[in-house]
Amino acid sequence: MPITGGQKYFDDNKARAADNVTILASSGDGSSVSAIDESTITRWRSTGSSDAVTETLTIDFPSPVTISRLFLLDFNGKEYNVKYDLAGAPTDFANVVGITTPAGPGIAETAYALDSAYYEFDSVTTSQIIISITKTQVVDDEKYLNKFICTTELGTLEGRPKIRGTEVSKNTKSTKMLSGKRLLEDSVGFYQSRIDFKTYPARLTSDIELMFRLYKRDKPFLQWLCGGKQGSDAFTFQMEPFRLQDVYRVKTDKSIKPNYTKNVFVGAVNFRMQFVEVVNPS
Amino acid sequence: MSIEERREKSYKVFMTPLISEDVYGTEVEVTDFVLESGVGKIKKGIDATDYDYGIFFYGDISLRCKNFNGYFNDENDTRSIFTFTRDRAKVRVVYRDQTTSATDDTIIFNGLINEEATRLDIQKDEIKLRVLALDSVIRNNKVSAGAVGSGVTFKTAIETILNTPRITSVLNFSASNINPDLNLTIDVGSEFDNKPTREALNELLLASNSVMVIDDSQNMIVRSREEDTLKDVHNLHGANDFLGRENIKFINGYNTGRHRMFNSVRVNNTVSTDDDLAKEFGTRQKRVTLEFITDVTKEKQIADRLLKEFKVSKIELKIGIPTSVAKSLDIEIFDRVSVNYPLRIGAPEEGEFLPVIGQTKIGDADAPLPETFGSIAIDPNLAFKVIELNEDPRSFTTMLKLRQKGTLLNDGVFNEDTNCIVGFGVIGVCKIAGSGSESFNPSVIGAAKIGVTKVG
Repeated sequence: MPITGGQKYFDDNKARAADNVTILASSGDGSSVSAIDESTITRWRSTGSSDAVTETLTIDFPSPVTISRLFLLDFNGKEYNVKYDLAGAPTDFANVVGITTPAGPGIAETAYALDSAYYEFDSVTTSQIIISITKTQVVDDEKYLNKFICTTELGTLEGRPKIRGTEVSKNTKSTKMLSGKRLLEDSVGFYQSRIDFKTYPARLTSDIELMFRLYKRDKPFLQWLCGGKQGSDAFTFQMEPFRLQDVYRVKTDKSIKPNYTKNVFVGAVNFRMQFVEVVNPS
Repeated sequence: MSIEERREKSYKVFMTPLISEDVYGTEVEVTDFVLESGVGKIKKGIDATDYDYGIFFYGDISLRCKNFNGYFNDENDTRSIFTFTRDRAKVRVVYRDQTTSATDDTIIFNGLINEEATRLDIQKDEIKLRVLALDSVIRNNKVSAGAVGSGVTFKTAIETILNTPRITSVLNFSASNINPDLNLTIDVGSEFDNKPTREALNELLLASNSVMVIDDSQNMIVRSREEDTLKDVHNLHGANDFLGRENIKFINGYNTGRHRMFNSVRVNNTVSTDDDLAKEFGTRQKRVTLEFITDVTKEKQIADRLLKEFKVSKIELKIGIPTSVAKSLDIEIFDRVSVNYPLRIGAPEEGEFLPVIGQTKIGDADAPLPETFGSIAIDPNLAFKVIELNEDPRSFTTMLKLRQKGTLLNDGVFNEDTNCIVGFGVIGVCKIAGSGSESFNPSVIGAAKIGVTKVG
């Protein structure tokens, strides 16, 4: 399916250090785990690299995973490729679709210029993924990557429900001090959003079914509001949480209150979905 | 698209009424009658109060139910489920983790209704039942005259006290579960004659530096205060864990444990003191009177053992975690816990990166040391043991009260290879723990601060 910019929802990220996934970098290995942690402020960064040096990140899964989508978020690669392990050999993904048309074969770029990348491809099952980066968008810069995500897709919205109540919070605590001034203390913070399906065409059944499935789902899932949309054609200014790199791990936390417009069952539907960024303790 | 497995977590309440003297009828589920806030917090632990040693805590709960149909009235109401008597009806509370394919019940409380404390609010049609934990049977007993003789060991005396029909009718006794830390002989057995069981037991537990716990199978266990090393360590993580393993809901009550430190113990007229610690921290003496011990040598042994246990202050804190996590980890009293609670690291400015040990050079312009925020960081290498569990059914939260393990100043950690805390060097341009001409061994030059138990 072409990347149309409809909101996308994915299964939880399969490349998480918290799930015993490991990563090895050809340089800067001390920070390689940053590419698969949950933090948005840590990054893997190469050391002593240049455009003449190809750096690799090798991600190993404790057991084979099935994936059909991957992200490289907050990333400065210009010339790079991503392959998966098939019977011990690095193999190109098939039928790859990206935000921009990849040079190919598989996931391979020679002049990538965006700060994040997303690819769709035929489903594979593998225990290892290899990212090879040669050139950076700024010549001879150290390579860096904030987050690598690989997953499968749960669905893409065809329609355009209203996105309201987006909140990117620092979870600030405000305390009034003796002087009368305030002490502000931030913590890690969270994201949340509200999607209103108001007078929503009932013919968009896949959208409605997707939302109800997400509502009932116990496990977290990933939400990508921009769905791959970027650039001046789509945004005058693309701000958080609508950027390419804004992929959030969420669940629904409020009741869903569905009804039919004017109580006509063959008419449009109305309901609201509230998503909030979550931890998933174990 | 396959149907994903759903999971529901809930609490269920069951009652088993007496149908005749000492004969119980059929268990019935009464969950639907229990108010949302109707199940009180369920607590078990070994330490009841500050400024004292803990021995054993008797956890009771209150149950609030809707009584609009007289279901929970006493036996005089024909509508009641209690046909013989409401007193001593069994109550069982379980935590249920229900998936589409399996049901997993964990019993979290077993008790008996106490008629004395039951109250009915007629106007609201609500009844408040006081449910005593099964171990309350220990409170209601006394030691028979002559049951504990002079010259018997602490172990034998405890066995005698616990292995009585009234107690064993509700709790399980096995001599193999009675293992006091210190096992001396009693000088004056008659001191226990007609003494309430609870009081007698407390004195023996204190004298033997032991605690009593009731496990989920209602077994009475007398043991030392040492942590359980047979089970894996439970790992708890705070909000600033980069790997997103956060499972701590709240953390408070952090203290150095000074209130429970006693560097001098007096048993009857015999004193045992750690002079060095008394000099450093001031003398804090615990006085214990044990009338069943008259031998001075034994008094000294008891005092020495209690002194060893409590002479050093140990960090204590309370942590709240989701009950689902507590159940999946199967956390129990004396389990070992590691708490990973790092400080929050401020985000780097645009174009900058966080420094990485072994990689970043001090002085690198694009990787400055970040700001850190937070009142305290807790190192995961600090070893804690669980001394109290407090489960709140309403919020699905379990509070763990933790105390650092050990009895010495330096044994409250998990001993592992390559365990070290490295500070940062300040002399010139240097790599921390790096190699080559730009590197140095911080511990030799002394610029970097390293606190280690063993550098592997």
